[in-house]
Amino acid sequence: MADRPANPWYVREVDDETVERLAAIIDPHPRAVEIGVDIVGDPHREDDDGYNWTRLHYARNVADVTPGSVVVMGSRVGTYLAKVVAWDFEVSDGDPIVTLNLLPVTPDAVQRALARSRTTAA
Amino acid sequence: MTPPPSPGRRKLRMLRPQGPPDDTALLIRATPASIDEATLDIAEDALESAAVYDFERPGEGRVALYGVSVFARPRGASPVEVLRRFASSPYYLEATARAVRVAGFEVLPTGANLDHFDVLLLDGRDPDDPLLPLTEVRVAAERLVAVCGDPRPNPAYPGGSHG
Repeated sequence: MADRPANPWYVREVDDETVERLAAIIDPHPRAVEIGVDIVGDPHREDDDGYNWTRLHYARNVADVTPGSVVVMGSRVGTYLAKVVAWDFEVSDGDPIVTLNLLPVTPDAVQRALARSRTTAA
Repeated sequence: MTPPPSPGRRKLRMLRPQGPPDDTALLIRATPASIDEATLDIAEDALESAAVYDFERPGEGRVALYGVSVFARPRGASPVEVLRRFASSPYYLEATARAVRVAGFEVLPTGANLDHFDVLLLDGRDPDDPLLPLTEVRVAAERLVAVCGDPRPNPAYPGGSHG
């Protein structure tokens, strides 16, 4: 990644052809399926720009973790919400680094807020 | 299927000029209830780092980064201020930079975040060498966990249920 953009809405998009190419060669990661997350990753990791990172082969479904997506990531450490910022192909064409922005809210808190929003006042 | 790696393509980790003072409290890891799982998590994280990153050691060249991300607790800050970002984890491990160094680990000042460091679990590995087996990295992770003592309840964990 270059310097971290100040804009929190920044996303480095990838084209559909690249997503289809990688979805065809990457199977669902067993641990992602087992613990029910979009992608396995460690919330402690930080790259040089302060973003979290993991690898695309840890995804449950490649098409769900494209840049711009909000995902549930997790490991033995717990589950966390994150926004996918970019796929970084510097080290691999077939298994890019997935650059993530950890969101400062918990999955439970978001679920509770969404449940309230679906409740209409009597 | 795990895609094959692209040999020789690696990232060079940015190092800041100075490591943490000896008396800095380091959040080594937010952890699950099981210390065995925490140890395994640390070992796997270091392997993942070494698969991608090198760092430059002056006079020696590039070294594979078997690193574990840790966060300094700023002086005067309470643990909850650092742990809020790890609210899904019931426990945490903490140690001073001095204790980590005395145990033989280097604490590298990595990345742009001034509070972020990597504890180097295994030193001196050539980036061109194959990755070490998990069992070997796990032995080093056990040494690091031993430095921290017992896991402490995470005050940011909701409800205070630390099962």
